[in-house]
Amino acid sequence: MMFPHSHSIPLLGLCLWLAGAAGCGRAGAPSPSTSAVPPPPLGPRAVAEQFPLTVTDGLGREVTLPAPPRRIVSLAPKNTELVFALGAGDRLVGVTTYCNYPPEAAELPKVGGFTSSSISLEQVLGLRPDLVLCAGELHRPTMEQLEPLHVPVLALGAESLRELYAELELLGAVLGRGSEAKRLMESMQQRVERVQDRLRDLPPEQRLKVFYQVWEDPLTAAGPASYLGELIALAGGENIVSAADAPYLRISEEELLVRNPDVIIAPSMGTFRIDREQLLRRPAWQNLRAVQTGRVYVLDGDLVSRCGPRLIDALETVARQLSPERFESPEAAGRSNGTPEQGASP
Amino acid sequence: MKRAQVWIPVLMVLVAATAAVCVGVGPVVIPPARVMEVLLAGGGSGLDPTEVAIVWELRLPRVLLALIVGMGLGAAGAGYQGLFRNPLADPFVIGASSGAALGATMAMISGWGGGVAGLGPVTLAAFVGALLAVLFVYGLAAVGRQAPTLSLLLAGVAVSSFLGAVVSLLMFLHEEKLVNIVGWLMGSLAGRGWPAVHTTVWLVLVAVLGLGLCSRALDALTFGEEAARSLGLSLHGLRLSVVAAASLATAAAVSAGGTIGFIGLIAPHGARLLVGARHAAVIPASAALGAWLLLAADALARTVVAPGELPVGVMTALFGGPFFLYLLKTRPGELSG
Repeated sequence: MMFPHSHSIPLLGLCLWLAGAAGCGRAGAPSPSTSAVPPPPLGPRAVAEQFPLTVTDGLGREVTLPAPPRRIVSLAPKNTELVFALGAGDRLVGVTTYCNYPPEAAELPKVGGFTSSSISLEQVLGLRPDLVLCAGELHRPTMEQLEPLHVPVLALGAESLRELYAELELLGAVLGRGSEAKRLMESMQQRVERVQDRLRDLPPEQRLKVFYQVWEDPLTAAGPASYLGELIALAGGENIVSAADAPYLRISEEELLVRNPDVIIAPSMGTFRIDREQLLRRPAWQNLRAVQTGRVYVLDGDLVSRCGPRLIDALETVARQLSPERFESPEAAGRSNGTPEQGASP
Repeated sequence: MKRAQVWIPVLMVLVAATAAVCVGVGPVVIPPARVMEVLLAGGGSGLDPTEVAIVWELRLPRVLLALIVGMGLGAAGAGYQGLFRNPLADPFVIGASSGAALGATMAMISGWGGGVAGLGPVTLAAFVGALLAVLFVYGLAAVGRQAPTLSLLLAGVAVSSFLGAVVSLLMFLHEEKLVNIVGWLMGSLAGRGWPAVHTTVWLVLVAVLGLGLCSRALDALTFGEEAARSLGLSLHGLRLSVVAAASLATAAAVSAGGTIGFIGLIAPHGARLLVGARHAAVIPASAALGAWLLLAADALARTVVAPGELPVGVMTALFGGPFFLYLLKTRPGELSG
């Protein structure tokens, strides 16, 4: 009677995954203390006069920051990566146990895992943050708990490249790193463009049908409304699931057989490891074109399951897997050289 | 009654002492002297605002809420076990938890942002859901003006699994809220703050008092329904009073802390072992024991995996399950009370 719904607990794992909790094993967590740490210096371009600054976050919430943030707690691996990518990693004072990139992030004090219920409010507050970066909807309970404590919270839950660029711009303004944000965004856009150039004359009938396996059980596909769906389209693939608003859809094994994908992509990471050999051996999948031709790719989940600055690495990898002949020349796929196929998590 | 006169004050002192220790411990280390300072100053000036916020806005309301919720669950469990004369009864036996779960789930899905008296939509919806589910069960079980005990239990089980299925369906259809719903179902006292304390305390106190007033009638019931009736007891009135009071306590507890299991099941058993079978003693002892158990479980939940946190419902089940089995093995005769 205590857990009338315990049969749906395995779904928690799926959900964690969907939310981008991708992460390697827990990094050693140095325990934080309350001792007054001097705030790191702000970058030269942090214009204090612009503050108090009111911004609109990913959930449409209006948030006012009284001063340039110097002590930031990130509650999502991709937020941690974004802050580091903008050169403001020295202002992070707390992260999650899943934040393993860049390596410096793993050294920072931890405040919990990914879900709201695993995050210790006291730990967050004890780090004296002046800004907390949440993921999207998933962290609503934490946002609601932090608001009465007068800690500014920004929700960053991008589900598309457009939203990711908007987050970069927002963080750039908030952190006084506007030009870095612009530069990063332009470089990401250029890399997307370069991939598009390679695929420009790809006739529609040559686009391979892709099944992106977000989760194994229940079998779940990334739909076109998700950033992964966008990634597949940009990489020259044709998603086998279509015309749905839901970013992630459960798909029956029968339906998968009928749609018979040319390529199967699955991410593997940390605690949710996927083994390529096992996928290839699935009895029900033996007649799938992708399995027969061996075009089953296991990606580094830390790259592709985080809608963050490294997403373009994943795009280049997938594009190359779908059309290797178009990315043969050395400089072709930009910086994606040798991105591991097998999730190589420590 | 001799044992009760010793044990009830002992339990109360134990609860108070544990509560004091719990305010002092947490993932962030604050020296006990500083905690005292903050508490005595009532969050005044001259102190580190972060420490004030941690002690005054996070720990103190959380500890008090654990105490109140544990009290409510313990007393409600004792009331239901007495009424149903069944050692397996717990506060959720006639649908309160599944009703609360459905209410909370619907609030999370609707995204309704309102609130009353500082209470969030999820808390309010859980409270209403728990009461509606119990009313529904009572209505289903009622034959004429009576609601026989067995019908109540059966209707409770059926309605619980039906509502549970509805919650599962909603979770399936609203994947984006799945993590939050599961988190709520696992029970947590984190970040509820003072508004939850202020409302829950009155509801639980009224309910515990109401259960206490039923204790003589519950004692009479231990001899069987026929015997109780021959003593001039109105079974109908007793059932209605116990269900109303216990459901009020359960609804208040579950809306504040989610579905926290095992407290309401084991606290009455522990209480009977300590103070005997008379309800005038069992109900307060069970309330105190419930408070103590939940305080301890919540302190563990927020410290064992520090810097992270565990859902307190997982903690109570982890420790409550083996403890219950231990009682079952070592005191087979005494459990039925």
